[in-house]
Amino acid sequence: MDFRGTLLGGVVHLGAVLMLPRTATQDAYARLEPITKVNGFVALPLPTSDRTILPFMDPAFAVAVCRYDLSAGSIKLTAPVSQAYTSVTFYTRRDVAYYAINDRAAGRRVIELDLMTAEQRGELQEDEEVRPPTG
Amino acid sequence: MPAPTIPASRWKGAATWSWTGITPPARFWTVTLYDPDGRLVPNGIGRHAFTSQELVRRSDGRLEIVVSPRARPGNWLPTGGIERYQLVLRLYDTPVGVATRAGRERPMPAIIRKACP
Repeated sequence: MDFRGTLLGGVVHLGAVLMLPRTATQDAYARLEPITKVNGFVALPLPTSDRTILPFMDPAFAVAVCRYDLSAGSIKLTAPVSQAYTSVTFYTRRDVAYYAINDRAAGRRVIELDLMTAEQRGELQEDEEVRPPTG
Repeated sequence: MPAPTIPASRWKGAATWSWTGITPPARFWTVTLYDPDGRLVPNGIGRHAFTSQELVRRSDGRLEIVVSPRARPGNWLPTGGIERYQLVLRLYDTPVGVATRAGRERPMPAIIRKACP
């Protein structure tokens, strides 16, 4: 019995740990949802000592957020590059960063990216295959 | 959003600390002072951070940032007198990563307690 109790306790604990990020109501997405829009960029206000939308924002950087939704089709992202430093990072709904590129890696004045699901990628015709931008 | 490397240090007390030396290679870096919850700390001069472009370097090329509640000459990061705070160093576009192990590849600045206020 003792062993079973321990095992169940372990499972409950693991379940609770795994569930935490999904049940936390004030994660980054929840905080950004009221002030950002879907498939369009919105600039976030710079952090001040009075107010910060997200903790640990870097006050040296301007941040813009786009909540993307691929259910109606793929999206094309175009971001102008500033003189100092520019980067674009993609996050999942659960705050996992899965892709990032900066201006120097992009090597151009504009960062251009196509974002689509694996299914949408599969539906692309051979001749309209996504190629890395040239120029 | 950038994906920087963030070594964080947590210090306690209203003492004066000095951050000196060289930093790991990076195209751009920032050092920012936060309270334990990640908010910027209120202070009289509205200074919460330094960027690698605005720091005043010493004549020998090294740099010093003084973290203290009272005004200091040079690069002064005011703590606003709070008891606990965090300094976050962010390296943008750097070869340093989680897989970098050798100390000489990531020379971190030294942090020295200078004096009580």
